[in-house]
Amino acid sequence: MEFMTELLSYMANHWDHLLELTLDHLLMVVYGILMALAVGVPLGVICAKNERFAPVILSTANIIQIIPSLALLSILMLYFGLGFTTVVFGLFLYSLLPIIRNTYVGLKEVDPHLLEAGKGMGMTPLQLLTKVQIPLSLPFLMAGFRVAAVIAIGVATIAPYIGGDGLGREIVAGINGRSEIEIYAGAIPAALLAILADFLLGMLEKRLKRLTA
Amino acid sequence: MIRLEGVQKVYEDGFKALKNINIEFKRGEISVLIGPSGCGKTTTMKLLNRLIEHTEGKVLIDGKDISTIDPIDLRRSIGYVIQHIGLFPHMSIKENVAAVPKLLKWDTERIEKRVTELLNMVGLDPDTYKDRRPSELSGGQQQRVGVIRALAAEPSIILMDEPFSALDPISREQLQDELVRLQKEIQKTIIFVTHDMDEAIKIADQIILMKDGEVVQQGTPVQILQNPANEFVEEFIGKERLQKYRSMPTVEEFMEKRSAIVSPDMPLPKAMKQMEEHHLDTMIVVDGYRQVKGQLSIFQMFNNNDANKLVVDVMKPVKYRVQTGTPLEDALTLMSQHDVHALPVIDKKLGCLGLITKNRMIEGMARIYSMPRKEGA
Repeated sequence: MEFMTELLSYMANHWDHLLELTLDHLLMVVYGILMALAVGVPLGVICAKNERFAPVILSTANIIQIIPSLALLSILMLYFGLGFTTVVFGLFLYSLLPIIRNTYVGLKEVDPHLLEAGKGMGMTPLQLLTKVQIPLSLPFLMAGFRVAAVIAIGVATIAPYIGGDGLGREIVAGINGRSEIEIYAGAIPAALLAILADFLLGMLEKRLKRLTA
Repeated sequence: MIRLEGVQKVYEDGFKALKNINIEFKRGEISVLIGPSGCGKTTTMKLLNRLIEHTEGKVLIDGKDISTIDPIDLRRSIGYVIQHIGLFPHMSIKENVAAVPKLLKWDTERIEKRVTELLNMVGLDPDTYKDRRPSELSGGQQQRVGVIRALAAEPSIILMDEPFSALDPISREQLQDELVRLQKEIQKTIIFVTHDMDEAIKIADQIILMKDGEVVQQGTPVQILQNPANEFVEEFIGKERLQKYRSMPTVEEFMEKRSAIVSPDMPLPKAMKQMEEHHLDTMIVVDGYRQVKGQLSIFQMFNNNDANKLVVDVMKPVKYRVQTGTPLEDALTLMSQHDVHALPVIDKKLGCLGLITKNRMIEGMARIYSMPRKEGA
């Protein structure tokens, strides 16, 4: 109980610092995922449109996913140096697989009869993609986005080891200073962030599902 | 008008889906492609909007070879209704109906007007339904929308691929009726694929029956039902249906038998008495070997009213005769062509069985046409 009050008072006293770290944390995640969307969605589309590429693209993304996060970030650091960019690039790589895979699966899951209807009424392949396939695969894409976001929020906590910021900084500071309170003050917001992202994106996903059912 | 000339479809693996198809779909008619699965009916239909490309021959729409038309433009000018309804679930009813006009870049006002008009046409209140999603409609309502979506951009040709097969029997009947009613208004060239013979009989102006990539028989429903080309057609139509529709009787069902037959050596007064008794105006003269010798009409008898004469003295030769199994319709045609009132009916051994007269024919026809039949058939 005493510990709880101590923790709360610590957080209350350092709220501006913690908020800043949270925002840093979010910023890295958002950049990473936006980049992953920008690259992953087209790759997913390529996989769906051309089955030959699907195994190559998906297994490459899979291999990246398998590399332990600390290892991946460290290797990236060797090439990109310390700092924000390296972290963002790492998060981008980690978010790729769920986004590519779900884009691919989502496009594949679209009822073939709807594609036939669209093609038969004279839609061009691009119109078919933008008016039918992508809108209908949005719930899947959203699910991929959600998984990517949760993973990225988690991975971002090790950012300080390669010169990044975010809530990990508080945790690392706690480890170095053997301060239980500091560790919790970093870990709890990070966990909450992940839960919140999961919840909000989950709601959005459900909504999209209703719209496309 | 759409014409297929020597069309073949051979797939890369060598499978011949269509073998030398030559057919015509007439403007403003419902042509039904029917046959067992794998017969090529859907393939034939999909050639028309180039969802499938033929490998040999020509497909002409109003004389123009469709392989010279851009497939996208071609498809936008042809309505298409698919079996699985295929309404886009993420779009409202209005957006679904407006899909092709939007592709054609109609202005919003024109689209709005057209959607309202079309929804009214199939009895869906625009204010109630236009903003709903397909999932909020019943299957029958959804396919109504599917049909008007195909009509939206005012194409003159509409392809329908088993459009009502996924519906429950009641909705299916309703939509068939509606299609027949609608067609009277819109007069489109409709190519309709089905495997349901009852559906084909109900809606078709022309039925094209296919098997193994070939056309087996082509004609109006009545023609096909009355004269199935071969055993396969009979089997496909089904015995029960054939009996029902084959009820167009043949001559022997209505012929006068013994009552109209006299022997050549019968005295005239006796023959006249027999004529009176059976209310006939013509009789057939048959010898002991069942050979037709001549005919005797009431006029000949009045002109030769001589009690001493025999039938053989006044009878006239018979020019025309019909075989057993001849439909009444054909006998009637023969009669009016040659201006005769009666025809002897002979069996395959050329023996005379009786006489079919115009009066009996009229009775027969009356029976047929008092039966409930498809309108316009």
